[in-house]
Amino acid sequence: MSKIFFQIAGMSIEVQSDLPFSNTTFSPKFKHFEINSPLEENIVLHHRFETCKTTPKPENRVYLKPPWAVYHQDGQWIYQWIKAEPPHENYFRTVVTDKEHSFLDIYNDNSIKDKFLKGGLTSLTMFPTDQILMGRILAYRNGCIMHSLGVSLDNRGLLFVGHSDAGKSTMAGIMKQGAAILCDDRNIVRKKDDNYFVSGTWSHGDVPDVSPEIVPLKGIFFLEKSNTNQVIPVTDKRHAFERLLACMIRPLETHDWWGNALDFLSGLCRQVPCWNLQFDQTGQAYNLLKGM
Amino acid sequence: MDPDKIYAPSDKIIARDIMGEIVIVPIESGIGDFSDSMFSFNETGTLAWKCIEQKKTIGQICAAIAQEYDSGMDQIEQGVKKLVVELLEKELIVEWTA
Repeated sequence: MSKIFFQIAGMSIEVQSDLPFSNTTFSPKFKHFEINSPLEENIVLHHRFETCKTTPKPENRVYLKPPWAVYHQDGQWIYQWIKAEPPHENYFRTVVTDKEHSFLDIYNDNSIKDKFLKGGLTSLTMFPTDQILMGRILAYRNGCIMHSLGVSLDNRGLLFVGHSDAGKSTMAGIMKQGAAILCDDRNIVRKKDDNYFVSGTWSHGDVPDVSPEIVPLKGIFFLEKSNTNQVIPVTDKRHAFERLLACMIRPLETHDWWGNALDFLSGLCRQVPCWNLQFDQTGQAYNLLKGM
Repeated sequence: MDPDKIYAPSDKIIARDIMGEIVIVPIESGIGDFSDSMFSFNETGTLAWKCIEQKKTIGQICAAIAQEYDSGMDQIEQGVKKLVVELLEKELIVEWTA
């Protein structure tokens, strides 16, 4: 059995496979995250190329909407990647995890085997994105994924949030003057020892720069394209909470996930300063933030 | 509305006090569903919701509000009735029987 380690948000993901890894199994963007040994917090993700022997029972199904069917059964979560057309019992892949998503067995069929051997994979799970599972993994570990731009400026973590056209990629270009880009589309915020940290993911948007660096989160900025550059403190924490909630990546929504998510965001808004950032194309926003 | 009736939060929602306001989210077990279906209350609604969580009767909820706010009982009863109907319609509460 082959294994390879990646770091993300202060934990490691140990990817195991029944098939051998090559240098090109995963996309080059993962090289930034690759490490030689596991960290204290380690998630195991095992790609198996065989049929899953666990049969989910229909009465345990908690979600059904292609491409996903999800079951909660005997303390385990079972995710099936199903075909769009019924019968949904026809599925391509199955993921079986423990309650806290610490050990994930991914059962792949033969068509996936060819894809694995071909290489260039853009996600560790071999799903279109890792966020469905990462969102759940983080929910049990005081963290969440934010649709955001994250940067490290003088070892200060800054998070820029906003809808798809808010200007995250533009701001990434501006901040590259002197800040390290963590990721321009998906970043992870975690709480450890009463402090919040931000780190990048491999799920980038237009800007390919990604980094696993973990930096203390010192400010959250709601992006507003403008013809000026200024920061305005958001004093209404409740409003900040709602705006952050809209940018939080939601995996399978369950009672416990929502409870964790609301508590996490509520604490985040109380502790980390939030600003509205109005910025123009001149790039002067960088100097403004550098001087804060 | 029967003043002795008791309602309770549905088990399909989650409620949290976020900076002094109750926020309610219906749990629909969706994946990546960004539709915003969050509910929140004003000050009086928050007090009423806390009473519902404590499984107080409609009459007790009205009395609790009357204790805090300088409004006529008729007006309070109308307000509570309107709120309960809305919460039932949105399936955020259910009729509770011991």
